[in-house]
Amino acid sequence: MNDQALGFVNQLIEKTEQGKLSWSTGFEDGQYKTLLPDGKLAFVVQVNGSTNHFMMLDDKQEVILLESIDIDELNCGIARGKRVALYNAIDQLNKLARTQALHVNEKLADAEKMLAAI
Amino acid sequence: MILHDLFDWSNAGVGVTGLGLTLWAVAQATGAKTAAERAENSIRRHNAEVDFDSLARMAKELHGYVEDGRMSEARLRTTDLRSELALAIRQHKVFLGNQLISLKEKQLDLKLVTDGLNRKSNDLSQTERVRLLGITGAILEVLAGQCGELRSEVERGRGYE
Repeated sequence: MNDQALGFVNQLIEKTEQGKLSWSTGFEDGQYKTLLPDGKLAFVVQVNGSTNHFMMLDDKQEVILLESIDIDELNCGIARGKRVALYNAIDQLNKLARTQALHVNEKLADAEKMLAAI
Repeated sequence: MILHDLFDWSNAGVGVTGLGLTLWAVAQATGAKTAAERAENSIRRHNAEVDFDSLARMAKELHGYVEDGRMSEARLRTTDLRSELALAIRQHKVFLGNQLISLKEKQLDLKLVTDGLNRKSNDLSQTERVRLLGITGAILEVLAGQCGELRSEVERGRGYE
């Protein structure tokens, strides 16, 4: 299951970097969601404290894939190899999703202009 | 000879009349079928409007509960709204057009809100409370918009087209 989850997260990172996916904020803090254009699949990524979550849902909002990894697993050495890679990939995807959902780059550019104009 | 010709012509006449009557009967049957389909379509569109009106009322209640900080009621209403919206989308998909994706997005929001509230309905951060108000407001807007769209189509007689 980890192999598939890691594959999906890496694909989502790639598509997000290419600007092909649109992310928006979810309900909880650090939670972001995206729907594929036809609405048949949805992905949710969340970094909540020390735990990283990744979820894939079908068009009936049923959870198809759910992965949660806590940093303690990594620190204690329980998580290895691909699970560590998945933890880091979710982290990376979450940052990308946040940047897009909150329009971080645009707001930073605006802030620079506003400060320069003072 | 003349009698034989007359017999042939009368036979041909009967044949043409028979064909004409058959074509007329087929046209009548086709017209009746189309009319029945139009009527059925009109009823289904009206049912969709009624269902989305009910959903919009539920969403308004949910938004009110969130505004008043009545989180346990909000949690129950979210669960109801989620299941009813899923049913309405499945039943009335054909009438939803471009709004389908927007409704699916709201369905996903409701799923995330349900999960979130089930985990910690009394322990929301300030940002989550503000976000919840925004989400329920947006759900209400989309559902009321969809209901209005269906109502105006029913009033314009789109079901009869």
